[in-house]
Amino acid sequence: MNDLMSYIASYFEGSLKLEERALFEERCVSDPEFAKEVAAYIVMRDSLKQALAGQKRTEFAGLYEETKGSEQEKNAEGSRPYYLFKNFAWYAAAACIGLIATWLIFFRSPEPEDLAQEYAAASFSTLSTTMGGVAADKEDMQQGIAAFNAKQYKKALQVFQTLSADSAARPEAVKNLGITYLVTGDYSNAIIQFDVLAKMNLYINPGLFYKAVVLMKRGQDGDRVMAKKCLKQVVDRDLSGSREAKIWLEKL
Amino acid sequence: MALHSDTEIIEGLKGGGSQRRIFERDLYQGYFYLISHGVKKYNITAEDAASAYSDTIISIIDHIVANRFEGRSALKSYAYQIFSNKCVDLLRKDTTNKRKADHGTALDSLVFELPDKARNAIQQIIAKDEWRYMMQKLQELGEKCKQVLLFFEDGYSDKEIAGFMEYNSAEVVKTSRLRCLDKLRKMMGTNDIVK
Repeated sequence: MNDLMSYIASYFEGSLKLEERALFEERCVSDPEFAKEVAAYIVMRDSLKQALAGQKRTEFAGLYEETKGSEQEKNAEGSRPYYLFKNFAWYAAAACIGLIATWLIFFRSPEPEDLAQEYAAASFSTLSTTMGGVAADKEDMQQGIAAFNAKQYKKALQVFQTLSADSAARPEAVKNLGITYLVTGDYSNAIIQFDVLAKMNLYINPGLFYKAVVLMKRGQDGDRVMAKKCLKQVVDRDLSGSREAKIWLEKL
Repeated sequence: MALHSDTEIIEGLKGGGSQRRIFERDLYQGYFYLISHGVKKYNITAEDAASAYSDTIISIIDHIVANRFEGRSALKSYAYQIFSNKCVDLLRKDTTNKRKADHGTALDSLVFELPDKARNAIQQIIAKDEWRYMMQKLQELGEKCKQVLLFFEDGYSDKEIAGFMEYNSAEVVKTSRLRCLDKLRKMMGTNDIVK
């Protein structure tokens, strides 16, 4: 390993002593070759930070879709506390709706197919645009996503199949391929893709949760039991989709 | 409103581990109403407001994990302030882009951890178009290397990363991520990055 890299990293990780830090800072000014290496280190770390922010933005984009329906209204009320009592009639109406919703939740057992259908309709009607990636792959991915959103599923399948075979965008391609299979009713292939996705070492991995969605939607013998197992793992391991998984486990 | 109190969110984010994502999501959902507020107050699209809000939450997480959030205000006020600034930035897109181009450095760059004299020296070296090249190199780095570096960038300790990624110890993680940076550095060459 490069000792210089280790030394530069020590500075930015705060493990150098005060006098060592001063020497480091002085060398940045007096030694152009050293300064180049420090510049390179900063560029690498800054780029990683950008890549990380890109990942988080993608996750939050999904969360935005989940939240915007219910939370937006609920929180808008929270932002206007002074009108709390003035709007009593509205709150009373909301309470009635809440009671009805509670009745629906607790006294009517939804079928797994219904839950999966609702989720798929809300989450998979369109695919969101991708962030980052190699330029050529990114362009192909956007074409696949555009085809999916235009409901040209055959074309979308072709693009995602190519990208999922071997590209820097493989995880996203596998995910999109699975979703396309799910939307077109090819449940067996959707499960295969989500199994592949679940095994990938990703910061955010919805593979197992999506597999549960497919199993619930397919509803063959044993699918419900298998879906519950997947959902339990999602909750236990706090994987992507754990919030819905927790609610669904109570209902199934 | 957030499901957890400010203290719980701050401790939850600082505590790391697999629980951290729960608190990140809770933080995101806690002040979600700011998006509609941004749309009304700044007359921007819901998409732009959601994007500004997303960046607001990313900044707050970053500040808390890096101990840069001093707790002088409630998270709600902190979020409101950052979100308002980001909305204003959106409205002044041209100015912001110009500012970035002038300095050639992102405003939250690691370079700002250096004192003035050293920072000026380094800033002069960093090329203006480094992001475009670097993001490509990152994609070519290999999944495991990329993950270990991203976990570290996200504020996780080497010990936590060892747990997530099944390394034998924190020391092995440290060696591995420095090797990965070394690899990335070699992929960069010199012309891509420095003048």
